Amino acid sequence: MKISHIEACRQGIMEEMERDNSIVYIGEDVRKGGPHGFSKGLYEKFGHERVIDSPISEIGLVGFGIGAALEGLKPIVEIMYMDFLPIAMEQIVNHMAQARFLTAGQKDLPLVIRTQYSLGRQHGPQHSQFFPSLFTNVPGLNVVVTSTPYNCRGLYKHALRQNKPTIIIDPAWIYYRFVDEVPERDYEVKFGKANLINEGEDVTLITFGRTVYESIQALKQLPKEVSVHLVDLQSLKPLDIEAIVRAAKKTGRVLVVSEEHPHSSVASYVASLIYEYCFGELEKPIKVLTPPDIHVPFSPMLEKTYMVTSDKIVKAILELAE
Amino acid sequence: MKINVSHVSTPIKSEFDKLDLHENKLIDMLKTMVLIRAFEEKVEELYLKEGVLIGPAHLYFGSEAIAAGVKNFLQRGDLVISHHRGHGHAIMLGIEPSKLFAELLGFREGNLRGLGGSMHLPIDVSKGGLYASAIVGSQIPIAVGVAFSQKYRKTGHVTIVFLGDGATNTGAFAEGMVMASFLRVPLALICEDNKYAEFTRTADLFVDEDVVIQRFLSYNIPVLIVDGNDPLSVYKALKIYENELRSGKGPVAIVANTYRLKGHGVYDKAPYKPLGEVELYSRLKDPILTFANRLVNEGIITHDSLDAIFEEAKKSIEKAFEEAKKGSPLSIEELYFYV
Repeated sequence: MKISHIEACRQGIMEEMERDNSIVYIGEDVRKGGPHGFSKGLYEKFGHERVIDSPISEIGLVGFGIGAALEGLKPIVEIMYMDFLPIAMEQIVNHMAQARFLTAGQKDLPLVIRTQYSLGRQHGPQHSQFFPSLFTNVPGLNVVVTSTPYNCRGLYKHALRQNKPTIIIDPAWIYYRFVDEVPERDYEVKFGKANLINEGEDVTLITFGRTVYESIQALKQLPKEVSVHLVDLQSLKPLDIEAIVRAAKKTGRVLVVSEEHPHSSVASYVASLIYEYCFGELEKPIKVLTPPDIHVPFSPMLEKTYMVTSDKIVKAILELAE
Repeated sequence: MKINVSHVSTPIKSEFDKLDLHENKLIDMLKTMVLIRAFEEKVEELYLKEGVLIGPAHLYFGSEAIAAGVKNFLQRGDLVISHHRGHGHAIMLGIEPSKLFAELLGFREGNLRGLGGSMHLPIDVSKGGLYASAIVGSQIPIAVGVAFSQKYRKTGHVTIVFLGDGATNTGAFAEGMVMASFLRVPLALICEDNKYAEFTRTADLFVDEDVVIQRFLSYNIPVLIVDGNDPLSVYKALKIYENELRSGKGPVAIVANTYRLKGHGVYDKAPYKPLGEVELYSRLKDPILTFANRLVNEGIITHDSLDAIFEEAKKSIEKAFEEAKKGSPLSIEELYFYV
């Protein structure tokens, strides 16, 4: 079936909710589908006990999810914009991440927080940010970023079948733009595994999130003689270090692309791992392509300049391939 | 909805039947209080005199009656969510004192394998101690989720969450109240109002001394104000709420007025307290002395058996510590299992 990214996310969640009664879905406006229609149809299908409209109380919302998960449920807590996640940072860092440690393994915490970042949608500095490294820095959390209709369906399914606290981040920019073939069968995309999107010989491109879409476009724009080894990390934590090292060694020329702020980012960590494990096999210094260390501007023209587009990726690949 | 503010007076013998009380329960309340006090006295000694224990510890001196009242209300399946001042809750739950000492020593034999320490001491899932937060107020929204699960799964059980007066100033309290009141969860919020938020008198932070009560009421959560130095008073309040709680009609709150007999942490000598305040409370309001005297006066217990209860508690605590001392810590490699 050919479906959009948002439809595939929803399918994954719906199928798991049908399968498992302990999954409840809570978030602001979720019964009406939310501002993007992400949870459309859930309320009609699963009713008021399992699909709950929350007050605008992110601390309360995440705390609720932690408690419900401690006591046998598998809550999906929707945080409408990634920019709202820091409101609940204390709950996430001290309780969600530490629950297993603090109970000395007596309790796992199968809580899934799902959110989206709206970079590229002219939402301004407080509704566009993407900062996964705030969370990958904390032990105990799974952090995954979806990027294709195929992987989002499988990542949601896997998130709801395992027992560790998980933050799933969707790039809203691709919700309706990225339409692709997705198998109808049941499948999971397991955490800790990167996805090789394209085999290539000249340059290794490692990325995740919205820039996977941009990278796929970039590959189409490149001259035929440059071949790119394109890897989508998908799961930022646990991180597939083996796949990163393998991909880096394959070409010796590595481009890491992400739409994070550059300082202390996942992209910079990936680069540091490559230096640590295969410095001697690099033919050129690693290139890290991110937006500048500036807040996301509202101005549609400026935002476009700020973002990592396929043109910028093409340019970086060609520089590395030289 | 009905808003219920009333003061609960101490029950007398004639009320025993109505409250499902009998003499054994009263004696158990006393024993619980005495055991908590004996544990805390030993802990304090190990910190201050012997230096065997290190790191923060927030002692429960003065609040024993609250734990004892709650203990006798709890049924199997009910869950307790605690906070940083939770040693008394740990004893109340029946976690073996030897495990608690081992935990305070940082040993693998501790109930949390030495990973949690003092501020998470009342966690033992098998005993109903589900969670304890070291961050003031943060346990409240978590307790809402726990109680929601009990309601969703129609267990008929309730969640008890402890909080201090200081915690009502946090954002987590406010948002927890929003969620609790909106979801109508079977949650009893027990505010151990010990009059101090760390080094500051709570009253100095409030515009009105009834602020804590008003806060609950503003979220449509009924509240009872009880004498937190009297275990029967705490117990009776919970009994009044029991039907409402177990039938899923929603959250309730109890403000238990008590007094923190010690400093904020074990090392804090509390020089900021008014001269003579501690002495006054110790002499007139100490929950253990008051309750013990009442039991003697009402002929429920003799002086001799009273002495025996104190003696036995002290002995069992000494023995527990001797046993705990033999432990050893986990290795750093073993920690990955718990992440």
